[in-house]
Amino acid sequence: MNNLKSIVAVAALFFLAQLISASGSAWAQGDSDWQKKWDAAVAGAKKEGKVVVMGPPGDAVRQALTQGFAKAFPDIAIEYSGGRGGELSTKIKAERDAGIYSVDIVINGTSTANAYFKPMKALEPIEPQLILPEVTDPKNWRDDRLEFSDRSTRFDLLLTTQNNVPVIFNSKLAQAEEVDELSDLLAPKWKGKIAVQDPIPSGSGNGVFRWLWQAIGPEKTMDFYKKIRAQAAVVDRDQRRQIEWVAQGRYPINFGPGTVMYQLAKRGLKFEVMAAFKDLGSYLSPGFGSAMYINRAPHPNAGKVFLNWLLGKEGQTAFVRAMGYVSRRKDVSTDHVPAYWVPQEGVKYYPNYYEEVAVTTPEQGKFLKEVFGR
Amino acid sequence: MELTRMELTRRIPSIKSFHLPKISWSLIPILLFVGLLIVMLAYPLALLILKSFAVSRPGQETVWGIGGWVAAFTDANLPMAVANTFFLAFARIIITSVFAVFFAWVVTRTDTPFKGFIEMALWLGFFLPLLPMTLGWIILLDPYNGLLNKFLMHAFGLTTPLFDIYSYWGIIWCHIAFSTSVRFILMTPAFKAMDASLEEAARASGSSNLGVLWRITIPILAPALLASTALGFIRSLESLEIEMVVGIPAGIYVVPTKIWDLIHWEPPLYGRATALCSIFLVFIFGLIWLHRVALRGREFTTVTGRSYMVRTFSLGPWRWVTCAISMGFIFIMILLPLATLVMGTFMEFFGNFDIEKTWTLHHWQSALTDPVFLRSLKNTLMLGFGAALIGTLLYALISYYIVRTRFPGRSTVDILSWLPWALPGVLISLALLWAILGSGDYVKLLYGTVGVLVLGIIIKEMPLGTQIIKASVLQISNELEEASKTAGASWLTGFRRILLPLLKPTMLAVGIIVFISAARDIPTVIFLATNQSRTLSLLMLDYIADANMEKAAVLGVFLVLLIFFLLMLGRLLGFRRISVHS
Repeated sequence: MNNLKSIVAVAALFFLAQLISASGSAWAQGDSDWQKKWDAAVAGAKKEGKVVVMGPPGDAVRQALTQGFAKAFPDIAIEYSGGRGGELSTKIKAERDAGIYSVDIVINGTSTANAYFKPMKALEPIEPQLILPEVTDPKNWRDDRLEFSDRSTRFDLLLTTQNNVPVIFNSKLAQAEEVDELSDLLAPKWKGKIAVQDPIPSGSGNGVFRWLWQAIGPEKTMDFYKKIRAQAAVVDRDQRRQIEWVAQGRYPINFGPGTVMYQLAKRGLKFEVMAAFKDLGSYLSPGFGSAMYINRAPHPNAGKVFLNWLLGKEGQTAFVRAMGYVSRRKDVSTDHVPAYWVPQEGVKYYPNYYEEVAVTTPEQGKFLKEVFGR
Repeated sequence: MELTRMELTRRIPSIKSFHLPKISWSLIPILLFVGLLIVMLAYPLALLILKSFAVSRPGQETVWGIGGWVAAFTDANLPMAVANTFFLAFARIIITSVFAVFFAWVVTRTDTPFKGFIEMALWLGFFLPLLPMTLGWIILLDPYNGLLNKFLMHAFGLTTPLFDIYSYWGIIWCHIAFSTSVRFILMTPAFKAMDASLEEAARASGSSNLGVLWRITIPILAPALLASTALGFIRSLESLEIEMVVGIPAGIYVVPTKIWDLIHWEPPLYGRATALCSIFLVFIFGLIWLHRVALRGREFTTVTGRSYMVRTFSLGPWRWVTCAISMGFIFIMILLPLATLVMGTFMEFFGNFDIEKTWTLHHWQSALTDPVFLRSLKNTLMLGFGAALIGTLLYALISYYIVRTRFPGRSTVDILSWLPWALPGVLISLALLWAILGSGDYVKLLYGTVGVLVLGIIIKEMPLGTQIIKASVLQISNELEEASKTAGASWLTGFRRILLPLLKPTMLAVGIIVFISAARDIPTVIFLATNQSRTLSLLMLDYIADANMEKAAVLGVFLVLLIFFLLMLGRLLGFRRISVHS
């Protein structure tokens, strides 16, 4: 019996050893697989010589990405052009119609991806381009997954999602409890005292509108927007100007201030923030933080190398620090942004970035034109 | 006895059209030239109009229809925007006409003291970047916290602010310095090239200084005045920046802000924007017709084969009045907001004295050490010089072709040369992008180079360049070229040795205007520039995207300094003060 036990134990040990050895070798095989792919991509990228990236406008992000990537890969040049989604897509469409394929990677908003680049059939699936384990491992990402705005086709990968503040206010003129619910903004005492970010163009004003459409439904949203239009002192598109007005005390409240408040607060403007409504919460959006890999790219390997760098800890840190965003990577610090920017436990957040809600629908557009057209 | 128009006309030799040598080979370059112009102007415009009927979203299969046009013209807010646009343009043109004629007269025809300084300051008024200057005005005249309003309220115990920049008159006020300066620059060469003997004859007949200005100087300079008025008016109609910054908070919308809205819609509604531009197109056709009717059957030659005098007239003690008016204008309209603007570039936030760290050098440091600054500067200089040199020569050739030859197609070219001002810069940019990318492999090579930006600016500034040089060509008698022909010179020699030197003052003025326009233009180059051909103005756009207007203003001030430096350098190298000698 003892012999039998010994034989079974030895056999089990042998089996275990084989198992460990086999899994180790598979692990090593996996290791060498990604390394081989990565080495090939880097070698190919060096041959291609450069990567062409179109991304958000602004000098901070331009400098962060070009300098960060040049430091990591000095042998691969980077050409960066910034712009709004409408401009970039118009340009790329005209180029592609003329048989010119000049761009490798686009970083922009989810509406840019879903309203322009997908219908243009300009996108290549992004997951096959991801090589580095720190990028492909879902555990490194929030919710343990890579998040896409187009969940079925998975072309548009979200780099960032942050809380979008619906209201800022001047604490000398308004108290937090007076503006912590959506309906508070319609109180008679605020008549002619609210600066409203225009909801027509893409951006924060439009984001708030699409969020409310999800959160309280079309009818209530339309009713609210008709009332807030009548309530507003001014409907404007210049985010900086509205935030300055609140900081100076000209208007107590700004509805839909947008992410530019981050840069302005950092430079010394003082205002208070209502991070989320007590009754409705708030919404998450990536801002300009989603990435697309362009098909028929002129520098496919350099594009892969850039994309993997961008999605890694180093690239993400550079990107979110420049933009004032919150990375979806768990290992990227959020100490550069105010706490209200980071999603908090116990607050309801609506995702405002999925394909089906990321773009203004014709019905929404018609309504906005009627109420806010000028 | 006053000089009547009939007598005046008798004294001026008539214009005869100058014929190019009638040898067949000379027709070939002419035909090529006209063909090139038509392709350059009409093809992109045709593409734009055609694509305005595409009603599908970008990137989707093209669907054609008139939906865009219908939507554009059934917009309930359009009539108010049109009314605002025309009201603002009329008000501005009346005010700036008075100022511009006055300053051109003061600088060229009178003995007003410090007129060199007055001229230089008015040039400065043109160099100054419009958007940052408007911010300078807001710092001063904001009804809530404008420095001037606060000072006046404090000084005079007022309970309400005296000025409100966010109003119709605020918009007009912000425009006055720039619009007056442009029109002064455009008119001055014509004033300088006018034979003083006509004015002297009127004076000898007992006319006063004002009478001479009204009855002799202004009528005889009609082509230049009308051209500059027409151009100023059209430019007023398409003005955008000030209306955006000052008009929108006051709820004042104009057609250009509507077009801007449509271009920045999600997705951009280029078709509808093009449809709205047709309002300008119709107006421009009307203006061309009026311009022709006003000048028909009249002659405006002031530079003839005979020697002529350029002399200033003594105003007596009144010269101190003209000096005071000029200095007052310069101080209030140009130097005051300029000083505020320069101060603003050293502030963390324009005009915000309530934050902890009010003053900073950071904007200057970070703008001038931006890694792409030098490349952008190089591109800007290439664009500015390229557009100024090639453009001015092209405008001179077009003007000559329209005024002096009898080749067919002159009217078409004349009309086409006005068209670019019917379109906002961003639509010209888009039209050129489509035209260049859709025009075969050789033309496509231009894409992404500074060359294509040069082309964009040349097209954009064609109405101004052509109409102003055309007015100057009308001033020069044909007999000079006839004489050179009789002496055996070829047409090219006559053009090069006689006409171009006489046109030099106007061409220099046009060249400088084109240079400056190229250096600070954003919309016309936005679709045509790439990372490699980025200009300083596009770098400014990057700073604006980061809500850093102060850093953008640094580049605006830097451009002003650069242009001043180049002008001074030009003078040192021999481009002396422009004057016409007998």
